[in-house]
Amino acid sequence: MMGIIQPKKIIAFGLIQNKKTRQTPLTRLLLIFICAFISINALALTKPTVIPEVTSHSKSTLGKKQEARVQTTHITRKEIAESPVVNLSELLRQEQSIVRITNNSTNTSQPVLSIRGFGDNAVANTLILVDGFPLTNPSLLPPNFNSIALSDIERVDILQGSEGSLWGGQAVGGVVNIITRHPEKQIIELTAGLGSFNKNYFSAFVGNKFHHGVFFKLYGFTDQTNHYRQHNRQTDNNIAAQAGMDYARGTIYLNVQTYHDSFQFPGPLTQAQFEANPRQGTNFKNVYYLDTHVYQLFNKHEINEHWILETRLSHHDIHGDGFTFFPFDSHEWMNSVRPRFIGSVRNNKIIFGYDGFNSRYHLINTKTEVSASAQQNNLYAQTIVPIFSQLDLTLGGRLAWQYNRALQISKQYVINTDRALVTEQGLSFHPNQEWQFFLRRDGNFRFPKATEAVWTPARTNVLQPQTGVSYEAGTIWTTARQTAQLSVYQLQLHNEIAFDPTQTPSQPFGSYQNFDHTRRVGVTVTESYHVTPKLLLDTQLNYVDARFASGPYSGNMIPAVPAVNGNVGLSYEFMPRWKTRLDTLYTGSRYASEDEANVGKKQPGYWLNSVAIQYMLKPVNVSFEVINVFNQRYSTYNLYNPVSKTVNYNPGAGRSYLLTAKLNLD
Amino acid sequence: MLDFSSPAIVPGNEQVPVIQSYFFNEFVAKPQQTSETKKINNKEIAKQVKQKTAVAMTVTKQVSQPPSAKSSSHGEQIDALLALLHDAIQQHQHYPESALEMERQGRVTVSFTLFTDGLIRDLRIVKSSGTASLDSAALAAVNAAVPFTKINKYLENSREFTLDVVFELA
Repeated sequence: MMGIIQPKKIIAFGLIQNKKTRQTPLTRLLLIFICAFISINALALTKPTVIPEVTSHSKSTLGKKQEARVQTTHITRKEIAESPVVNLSELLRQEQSIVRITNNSTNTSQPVLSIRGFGDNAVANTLILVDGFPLTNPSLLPPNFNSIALSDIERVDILQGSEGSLWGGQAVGGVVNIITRHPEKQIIELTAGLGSFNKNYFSAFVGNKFHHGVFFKLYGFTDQTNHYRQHNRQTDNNIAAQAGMDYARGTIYLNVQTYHDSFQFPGPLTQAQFEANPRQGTNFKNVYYLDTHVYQLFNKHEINEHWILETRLSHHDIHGDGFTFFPFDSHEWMNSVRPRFIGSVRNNKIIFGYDGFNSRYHLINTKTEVSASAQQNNLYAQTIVPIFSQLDLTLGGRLAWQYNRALQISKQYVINTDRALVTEQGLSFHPNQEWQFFLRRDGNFRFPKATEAVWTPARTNVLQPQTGVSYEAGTIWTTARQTAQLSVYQLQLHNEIAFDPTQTPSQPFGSYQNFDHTRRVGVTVTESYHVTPKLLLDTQLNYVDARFASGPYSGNMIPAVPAVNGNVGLSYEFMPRWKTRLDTLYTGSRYASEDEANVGKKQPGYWLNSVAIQYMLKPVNVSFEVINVFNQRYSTYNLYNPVSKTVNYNPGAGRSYLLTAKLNLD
Repeated sequence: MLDFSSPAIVPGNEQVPVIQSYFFNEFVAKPQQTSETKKINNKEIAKQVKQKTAVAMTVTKQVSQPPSAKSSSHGEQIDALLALLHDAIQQHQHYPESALEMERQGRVTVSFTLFTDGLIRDLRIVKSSGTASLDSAALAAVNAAVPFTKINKYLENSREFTLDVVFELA
């Protein structure tokens, strides 16, 4: 208040001066100065009074409530940034008990994710999403989730259990949702990795957000390795760009991605070959080239204070050629339209929408030509009703139907329509901040994929849709030091679609069939515990009893599914900026793929150990990792041959080294 | 607006306290009010607000003289008024569902002119959050708090206020 009082005094003084004396230049200057001073002070005084800020914290979003009703594992941006690995499949290795990485007969080099006990058909029973866009192919060709640069991943959400009502086909064992980064500021990240078997990986990621909400991100990477075996070279070259805008009522972006992959297939080994030299190849001709183009348009728009509309449009096409015993050429593409409304009515969270897919698949080689097309429609809705503040009831349902046309391997041309109706009921109870319980039942389904639709037995016109029900219960206990999760489940499937290797004169290579009933009963336990602020222990254990429940194989174990797998990880910051991580992974014994009769030799379980050391001095993160420290000999994928009654081996990598450097200029 | 006729700026009242927020006392609080006339609950709220928020006040000039008992009470009264306004608006704030689902957060600066009868005029966005629903929710929170009650004991003339409403995702 000196600034308030003084002006009046000075004004009074100035007036007196005007009355009694003639103004000199000096006086005038003084008056101008005084007037200016008064004006500035007066201006300052007219500044509005500031009320202490009002803060509004969000309540739970629909997404958080959806997560609370199932067992969910997150891999955060921090974990990704500090990880010594360079691609997603290596990152997921740390969650191996939940998301088992396996292979299938379509491409033994491409990793496939299995949740809740699936073997050779895991690719069609786990749904992988990238920002809500399904990363699935019309055929059984495994989706290339390594096409997403780690630098671009904000987090990975692994939802275990059926999600058929909310996410639709293929969400049978679970859903892996990869959330990419949304640039809010300048991001620059460079990664280089060099390792055994001529592994080299280089990536560059840049992104930024400008005034008026305009943003972009751009990345490219090249990943090359000879793998462990002869004639097993793999190259992935990828470039992706996204441009968009955050506007007052929403977000819109366009995503364009193109990648080229090539794989050499060394062929399976006999047991004798595997024991003599697991690195040898038996086939030096088979090779696969894939060119993939992806276009995605996303819009999230606020309709009013209670409702938003999310719309996803996408197109992806894959052109493949190469040589797999015969020269071949393949082409498959898929379009999708997926609008959905998200909102609330009287505190009840509601989501409903439509999913439309249109796909085509065509394969020609010197022996045969097959094709399939499908048009799938889905209508779905889900609501989460708070019965009281700590108890939520979830109800949902989905109706799906698909028109199919297929030119089968048997030269039959078939047209049919598949339908499925699934529902969900669940309760989630969260009595306090630490505890959370859930109990749910959810339906699941999947329609035959193009490869399956064309590769059916001659006597069978079409395959039936696979349907099922999952019952799940679990609890999550979270404290400042630890997070523990326990879940038990029973997954019953009807008409499970899988490959039957039984060879007949009309099907000399076997065929895809519907099995009668299968049942998987399992328990999953996970624990992440901060022993000290610098020592983190994380463990996961998964047990599943996966069996045929009826039909000719009733009581048999489902092949390629280990009953037990688990892992233990220890991360320790032993001095400032230095961290080490030890991982031990156990994969239990299991029958070889396609040994539905359980007559072949059971494949033994194996342990894999890895150790990594990291130096982190922002913005640089350098790590050195030794994978399979004890050079364990093991097979990632075994295939039973019913004619020779032998098992083929596809060996996993022996001891390998990886040196990674990441430069992060966020 | 500044009212030079207000007793608050009569010479002699320049014994102002060190605490910045007491500045406003000189313009909106009645100088004749004494500490005996204060409501205890408002005093407590003012204390809480002072503790919770480091408010960026418009004046940083400090005066070397120690505060007198009288002016100190004025300062507490203005803090009580700000606390009253803050709490009234806080009670009516809510996070729009649409912004929640869009994972939008941000800070909205609003301003308004408050009259002694508790009504307001010229409510407007000074700085947008960039999200329409958050801006609307900030305006709605202020509107819902109108009329502000029990303010005539602190406010002699109309005055302009600004307020930041912060929306944070949990």
